[in-house]
Amino acid sequence: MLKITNLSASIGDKQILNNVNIELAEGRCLLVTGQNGAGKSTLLHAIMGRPDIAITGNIDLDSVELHNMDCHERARSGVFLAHQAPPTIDGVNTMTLFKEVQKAQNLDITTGNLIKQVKDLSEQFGLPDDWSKRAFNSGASGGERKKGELMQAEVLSKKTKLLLLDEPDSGLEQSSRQKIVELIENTCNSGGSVMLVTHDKELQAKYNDNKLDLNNA
Amino acid sequence: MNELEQEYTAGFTTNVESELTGRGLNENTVRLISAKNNEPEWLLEFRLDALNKLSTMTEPDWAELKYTRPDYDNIYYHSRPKKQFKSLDEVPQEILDDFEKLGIPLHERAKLAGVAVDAVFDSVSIGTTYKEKLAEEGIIFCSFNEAVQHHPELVKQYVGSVVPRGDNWFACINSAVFSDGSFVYIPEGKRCPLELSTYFRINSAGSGQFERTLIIADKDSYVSYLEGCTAPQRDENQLHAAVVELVALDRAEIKYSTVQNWYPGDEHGVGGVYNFVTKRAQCRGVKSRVSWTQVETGSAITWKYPSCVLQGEGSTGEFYSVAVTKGRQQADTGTKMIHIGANTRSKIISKGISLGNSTMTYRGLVRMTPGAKNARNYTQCDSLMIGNDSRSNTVPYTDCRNDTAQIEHEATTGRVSDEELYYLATRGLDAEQAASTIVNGFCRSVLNTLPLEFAAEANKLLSVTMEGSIG
Repeated sequence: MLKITNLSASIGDKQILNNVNIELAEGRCLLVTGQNGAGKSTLLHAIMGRPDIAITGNIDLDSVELHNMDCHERARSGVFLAHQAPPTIDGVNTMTLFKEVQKAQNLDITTGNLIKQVKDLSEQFGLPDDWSKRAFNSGASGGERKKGELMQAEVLSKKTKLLLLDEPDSGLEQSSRQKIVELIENTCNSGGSVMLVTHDKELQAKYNDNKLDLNNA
Repeated sequence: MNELEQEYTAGFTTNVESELTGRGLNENTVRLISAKNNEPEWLLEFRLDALNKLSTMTEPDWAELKYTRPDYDNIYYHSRPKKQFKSLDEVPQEILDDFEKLGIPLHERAKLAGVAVDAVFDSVSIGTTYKEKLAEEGIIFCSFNEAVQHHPELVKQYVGSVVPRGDNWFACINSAVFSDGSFVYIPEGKRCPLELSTYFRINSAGSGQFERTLIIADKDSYVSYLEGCTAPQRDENQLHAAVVELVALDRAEIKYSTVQNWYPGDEHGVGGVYNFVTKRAQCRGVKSRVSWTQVETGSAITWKYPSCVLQGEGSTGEFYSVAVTKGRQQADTGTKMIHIGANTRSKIISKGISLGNSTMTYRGLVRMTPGAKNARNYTQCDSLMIGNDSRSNTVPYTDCRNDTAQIEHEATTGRVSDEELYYLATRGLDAEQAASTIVNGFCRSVLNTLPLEFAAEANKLLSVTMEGSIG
């Protein structure tokens, strides 16, 4: 259960969220809507623990006080954020990054199986053969970056209790959007929760029954 | 203890009684060292001539380094364990145990597979592994002093031929008072079947280390040589002024790798090794090749420019460097590529990383002489700063004296971005793991050139260096 109580968030002098309250049960997906600048991404990053976002209020996940943790500790506690615009990391090849995540999160998978899983996933997503050998996101299109985020979400899915999806669909071809739905369903079916920010009408319609509108929050 | 001290795992002292002699930089010291080594007259003359030249020279001050000059008259220029030994079997157990602790087992049952090691403790070599096996192939790998005794003609022919005794202040000091070091000769047509390695350890307080290394690769031969070094943690600055000379004859190749981990001093800049080293290779033969790879994480002060003189037609020089400074460390390091022969090639890949309050300077020279027709150089020089108080300088100097030569230079300077660190944190990496991943990626093109045995050690060393430095 995710419980957010009286959450306010600001970046520098600018207050972006004011007194947001959320209760999200296991197995549920919350659609977060609002105009540009309403604070949808800020909300997800505030939950993730981005250092430049100052918050007041509480963020509890299964009674664990996320608001008292550093970002990497929140990740290790089962929070996964699929970034809207993941950066390029020069020199660090994609497979190396997966291995570093495996080490940092103590994933229950052998390196051999991890390599196989990444290879299989990149095939499923239609990514180039040498994708995992390239520097992370180097020369990648917006859509390829999104696929990379979804692949990481898949690899970490067994550990994920709270999946934060920040416009996972933008730049993705239609066929890959099904992957987003599968990811959400799988997370919910295995007892996790999802928060989804999207401008995609189909996805919005699909998850419209449980919605937080930040314009009115 | 501060973070830097906690991280320096090689900072212990071996509990063995030492004999310190030769205090002060003077004729008595020079004669004493020469006598202790039972050297021939010509070598004593070599030393005395260097001492004489030194009196006309001054310590260089052009580097981007601020340090208190060593008190040359108060240093002991020779230190060796009091108990004498003639073979590895007689070496005091404490020394063997401590080398093992440093990852360098020397005794027969545990010695490193595939790597022959010469272990230098203060001023003396305490032993060389696989010496006999290599001798069967005609390869000479022994301590410098042993080479002087058993192969004087080779030593006499080559010592000082690449780095003349009056080359610079520190090389001149070394030429006068050098202690032990390693000697390698690879005969014509021979590919050395083992990696050769020397491990340098300074142990005694109040002393310095002034080793001399000479490697000769005869025609059509190949050798890969690795060098490692550590020192105890002390509040005093210890001087290390080494000279390394490499000679590559026709079509010979020498690959020289260094992992330098001398004690860097504490967070306030107290203590640490002054690492003033002259390393130079002469590619004398046609199509000969020398590559220098260095991973520099230690030393309070580093002054070091491994160089290649490319004489032979079509010869190649390469320099791959990762240098990391943190705390109050200062490094002024780079390379010189002197193109003399036609169609010579050189490549320089330098990665400098500065953290904390440290200063990192890349200083390089590429010279194309009039005879270096169609010579080529490519230089890539990248620096990465972590934190707001570190400094990074790049001083590349190019001197082109013929119009057929080509010089390419690429350089970048940047900071580790908060965006990258945050992204990795969202994947569960703490600040140190994130910075270490980024730094390893930044250095990958250099680390890939290291022999396998050293690559793992270099990676580990870089990770340890990042510990406590971020956040």
